Amino acid sequence: MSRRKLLNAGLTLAVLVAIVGLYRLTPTQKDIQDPTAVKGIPGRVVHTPRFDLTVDDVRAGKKLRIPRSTPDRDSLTAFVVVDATVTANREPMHIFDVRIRSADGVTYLGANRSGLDQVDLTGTEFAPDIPVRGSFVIEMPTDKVPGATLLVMEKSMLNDLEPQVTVPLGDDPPAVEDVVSLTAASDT
Amino acid sequence: MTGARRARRGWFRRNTVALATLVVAIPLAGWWTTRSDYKSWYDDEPRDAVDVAAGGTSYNGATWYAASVEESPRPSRAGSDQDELPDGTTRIRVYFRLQVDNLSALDGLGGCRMHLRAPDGRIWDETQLADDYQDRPTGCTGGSDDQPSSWRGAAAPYYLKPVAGKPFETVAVFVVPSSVAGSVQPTVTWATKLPQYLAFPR
Repeated sequence: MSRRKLLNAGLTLAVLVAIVGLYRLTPTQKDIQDPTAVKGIPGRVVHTPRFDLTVDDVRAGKKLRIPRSTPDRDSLTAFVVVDATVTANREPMHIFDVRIRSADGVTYLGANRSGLDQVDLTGTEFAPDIPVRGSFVIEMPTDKVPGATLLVMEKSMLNDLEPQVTVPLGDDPPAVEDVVSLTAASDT
Repeated sequence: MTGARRARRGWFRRNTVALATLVVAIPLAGWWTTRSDYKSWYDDEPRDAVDVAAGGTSYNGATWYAASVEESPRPSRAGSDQDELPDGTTRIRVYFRLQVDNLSALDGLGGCRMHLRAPDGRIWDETQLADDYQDRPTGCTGGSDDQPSSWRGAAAPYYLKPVAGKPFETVAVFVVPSSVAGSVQPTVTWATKLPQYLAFPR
């Protein structure tokens, strides 16, 4: 084989490797359109263009007591209750997407037990400048809470590039009560 | 002047038309591919106010008259239990006054949404739990009452059916921060009419 042919083969191989490499390295459309993280810490207001959110407290319990509803709900894991204050900024709105991502990358969605949407913050309409205090409830093992992150968005779909409130819940596990009771969301 | 530079200048001169076409074509292509997205984004929110004149404005098949706005209204029923409001908020009751010349025009008014709008563009929805303050039909199409009016007793006017050519009133109750209670303006929007909305001066 002549030197020229060897060079051609080498160049072809290099171009192929470059193509595959570039294809792997360049972000996909999904990567580009992921929600935009707006970082915060518990106890401080997180501002987004459409709403402000403050995480006041994180509680946990083996059972969940929902006001004006019996019996106490049972869980195979635990109920993590995130007490928060939410204020809309521009127009009436709801918050539909609440989840906790644990340190090992597992994501737990907000609980949808019957009667819960009557009293928690996902069932509340927020109005500009009228803060509402209430809770989000996520069903997950409590030993996954240390190092986990609370993720809150307005919409649960079609939310490309929308702000996502991201609040790390700290490294301490929450005290687990037998029954954690929910306070109905109310304007403060 | 070196030969290379002279050659480059020649290249630009030969391709002037093509380059000029690119200057026009690229922005044009950008506009062409994004214009429908831009339009649907623009049409998605109430942006263009149609102001209601004091003497009445014809819009969407009805004649609209000035709305009356009442801050901290008294409940229309004695012994109300809906008095409690969050701190720093004020209840506002709005009476909308309109007239249709033909009752079939009421069909086109359905699906309207009442809002209060601050001068900076923030808006507030109607309060749902406000029976004690709603002493007129709600919405835009007036009341409907299949019962004889005598059956309703003193509450009969609140169920009143609209009559062609005669103004009737509907009510909307809001809760807004006290800081904007004096400046908010009632508006009516229809999803089919956006970005237009009907604005009632105070």
